[in-house]
Amino acid sequence: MSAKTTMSRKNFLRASAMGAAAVAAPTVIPSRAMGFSGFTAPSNRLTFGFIGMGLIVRGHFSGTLNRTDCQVLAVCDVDRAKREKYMKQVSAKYGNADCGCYNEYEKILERSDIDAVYVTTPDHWHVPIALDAVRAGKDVYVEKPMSLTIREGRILSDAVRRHGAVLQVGSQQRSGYTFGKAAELVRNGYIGNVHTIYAQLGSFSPARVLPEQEIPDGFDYERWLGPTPWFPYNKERVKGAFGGGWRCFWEYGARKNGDWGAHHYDIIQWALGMDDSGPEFFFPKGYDEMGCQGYKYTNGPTIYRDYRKLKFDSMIEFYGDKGSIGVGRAGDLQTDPGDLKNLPLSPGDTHLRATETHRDNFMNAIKTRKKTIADVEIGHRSATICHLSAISERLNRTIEWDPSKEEILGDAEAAKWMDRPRRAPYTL
Amino acid sequence: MFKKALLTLLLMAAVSQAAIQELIPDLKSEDLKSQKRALLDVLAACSQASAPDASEEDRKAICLEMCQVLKDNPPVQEVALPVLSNLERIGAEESVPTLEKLLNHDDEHVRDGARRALVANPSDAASQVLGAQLKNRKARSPVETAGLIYALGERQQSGASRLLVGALHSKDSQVFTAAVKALGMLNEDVGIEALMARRVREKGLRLALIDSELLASGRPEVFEQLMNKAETDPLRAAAFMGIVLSGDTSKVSDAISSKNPALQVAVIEAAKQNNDPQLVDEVAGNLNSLPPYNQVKALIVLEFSGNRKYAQWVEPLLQSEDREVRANAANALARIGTDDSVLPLIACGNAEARRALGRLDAEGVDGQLELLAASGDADSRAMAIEALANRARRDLTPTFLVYAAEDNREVASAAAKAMARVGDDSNIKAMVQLMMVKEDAPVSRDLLTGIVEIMRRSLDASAAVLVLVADMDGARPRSQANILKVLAESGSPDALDPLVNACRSSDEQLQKTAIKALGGWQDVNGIPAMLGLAADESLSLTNHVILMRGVSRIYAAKKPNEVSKVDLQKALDTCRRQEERDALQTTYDKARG
Repeated sequence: MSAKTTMSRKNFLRASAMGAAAVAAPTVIPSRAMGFSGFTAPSNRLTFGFIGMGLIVRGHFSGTLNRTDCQVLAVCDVDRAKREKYMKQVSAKYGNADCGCYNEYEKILERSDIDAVYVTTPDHWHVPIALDAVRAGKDVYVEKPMSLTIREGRILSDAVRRHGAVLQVGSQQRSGYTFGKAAELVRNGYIGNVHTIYAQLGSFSPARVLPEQEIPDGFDYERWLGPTPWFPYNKERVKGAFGGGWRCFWEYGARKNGDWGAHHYDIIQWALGMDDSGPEFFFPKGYDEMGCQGYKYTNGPTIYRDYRKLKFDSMIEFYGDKGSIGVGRAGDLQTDPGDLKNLPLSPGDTHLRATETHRDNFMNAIKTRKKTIADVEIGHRSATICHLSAISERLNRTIEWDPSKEEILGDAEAAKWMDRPRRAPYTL
Repeated sequence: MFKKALLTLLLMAAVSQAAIQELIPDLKSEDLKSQKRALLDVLAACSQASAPDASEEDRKAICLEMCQVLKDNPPVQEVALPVLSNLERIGAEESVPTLEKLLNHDDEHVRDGARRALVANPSDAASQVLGAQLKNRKARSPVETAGLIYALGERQQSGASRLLVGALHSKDSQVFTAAVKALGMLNEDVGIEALMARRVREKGLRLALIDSELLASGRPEVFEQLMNKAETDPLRAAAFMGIVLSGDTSKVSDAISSKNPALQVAVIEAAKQNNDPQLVDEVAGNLNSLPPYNQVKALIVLEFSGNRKYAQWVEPLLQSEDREVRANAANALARIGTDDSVLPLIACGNAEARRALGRLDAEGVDGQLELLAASGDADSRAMAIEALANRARRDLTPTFLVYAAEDNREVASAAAKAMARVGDDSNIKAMVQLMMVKEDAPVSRDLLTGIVEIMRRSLDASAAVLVLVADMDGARPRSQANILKVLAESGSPDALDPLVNACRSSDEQLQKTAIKALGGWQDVNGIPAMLGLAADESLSLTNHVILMRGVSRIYAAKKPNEVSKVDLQKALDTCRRQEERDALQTTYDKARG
């Protein structure tokens, strides 16, 4: 099967001159001709490039490769073995050898026949790649947490708006039934004024100092490090593992505050209706008698991380003056009063629950240009909480935050952590 | 807990008083754990010295100490780089001379560490050092040149653009990219003019980067130039959106009514982003003349405007030939519709319209739906009943029961499903009785499903079971079978006893139905009862096989680690026939690994 030859169905702003090849073609094609009304012509599939072929890409890759309305045109990874493995899967699926296979993500962005990219790299590459993709006129699915720093999240959010791009952050709990229902109950006041919330993030072992090892053949370590400070290669540093690997290191993320905070803090923001704002006070362990790290919304609840004596033993628990809710994965939704979870919402209530999967929501948004359920500003605001929590943990002190100005107040050193100078020659 | 916090604070204070120099031996240690501890101690000392309540003298002292460490040419990996990263965080003017020297260090990582520390340094002197480096040092690698260029952009150093514009001519992609992005960050006249001049010579990704920075400049005069007809439609559209968002809406009417879809999208996107009433009015006013793919986008703008006055423009699109347009029109009306939208939504009837009727929060909607539910054609009545249930009208359960008793299959089914949605324990008895009365009608199946749903979410399943069992006595076989199915499908442990009793009934028909129902049990909690019955020699072989197959199915659905081998063995011992034993043996082998 050859690469897509007709113009993309997307008739939105493609601000980049990347589309030079497309200039000769009409900018837009009527939706009926594009198969918008119930069928999808093979030549009008959404076309994708995948960047980062590690642990988290598996579901996205198979979920896209197996759709008849999608076509995977290229894969990219700094590990030759990984990218070739996935390239072979694409070749086997389509019965040809057309799939691009790159070490450098820029080669995917240069292709005008690719509509959208999945950015499934370690955290420190999320924004640099997503931002360049938006500049190149692509839509983006980027894994959570969306950013490595607060400043780069703001830059990406502004760019997405400026280019009219669609971006979905991979905080897929938003598309799950139980989290949606819990968020609806909280948002609509079914447990009254919420005063306390608990979130279970777990913990990583402290990142170790690692001895230098030889860089394996076919692994572009320089590119893997990208904008982060140089460290000698060790396989533990670059390993993709849910229980450790690169996730343990501050250099590549916000450790558990980012890894699970990007899920649970995101749901808390959603439930409280704070998607375009955030909490204003962050504190480290030992700040109060609860003994937990956490943060507080002005005139709103206090959130405690990893408090153990919970009522429901759920991932997230909301406590209000009229009831409580425990919510987690695998269908966990518990309420007090017990029948709270069964109450149907009335028309006057805010309806939040998703009616499609997280990936479908992205695919449909590419077609309609509707905001995704976890769009860039939402991802930025949720990641901001992760980063501020991490800064508070790292500096072992409280942080005051102004969410409207997006400034850390009265602490120059903490404020510097809002960004991280990038290693040359990497830029944003 | 307070003790722990106090201890932490005391420890940190102690570390801050310790000289950084004293930690150097541990930083250099071959013992990696000692190295790690020392790294954390340096970090803690720096954090303490730069805390809001610390003195400037303490911060300066520790920075000068770190500078001294760096002057002594320590090992790069173990000492120089971590010390530099701490200077990056807390260093100020006192650190600049040392960092300047390190820009010429033999080791590339030290040089870049010093550059990064200068990027984050709040002193003006840091900018001067970076600028001087860029001007004076000729034999530099492209990587380092790119780093210095980008550093000046990141620092937003006023006047730095003049230093950088020459790099736009670089053929090296790293230098070029850094220059474009730095000039974009600086957003000074000279830099923007240079970017405009350069773009005519570029293509591909290089041109995309320039255009992106020009669009980010927010300058109306730049947007005007990018609107040149020689430019691509997508770029013109992005530039036009910039013009509109910067407040100049003079050409909006022409653009939205033009035949240029890209310019139409620019207006729609601008309206989406700022929800300006004038823009939204333009979008609404031109809704019907837009092509379908832009109608979809325009409908999203109207939906999120929250303004009900646009409903009248949206309603006709419920009859569009385009499926996406119909769906998005319904979604929009869910948010901005009025009571006048009810009939068009009913007439549309797609899934989105049905959902919209459940969410439309406008005066008079409930009244209209109640009227529609009471009379009219069956389709409309069924949809209205469904909508009322979706609107959480629990007060209407008596009415829904009346509708469920009607002979019209569609209406009765919708009403039974409405009961399932909003009914509770208090409705079970009435639903069971109606199920018995209507046992020959298709609605009995809907009622059965509804009762099961209510029981599954019941907080007092045992009471519900009692209601069911009470009604079973004297019921006709078909109704008894239905009740037994409800008991089995509810999955409530309270339902097991009555099911087992029915399985032991002398009424052969009842026993057969009960065995069949119990054989369909879904959870392991039913297995002891099933095995107890299956082991009874008086049970017919047919009934025995139904129960053993049920047991086998439950086990097969479990993960191997969730299956007790002892229980499985009991099941194996209970089997009368080899076929069921073989099936269980397969599960047993899996569990055993």
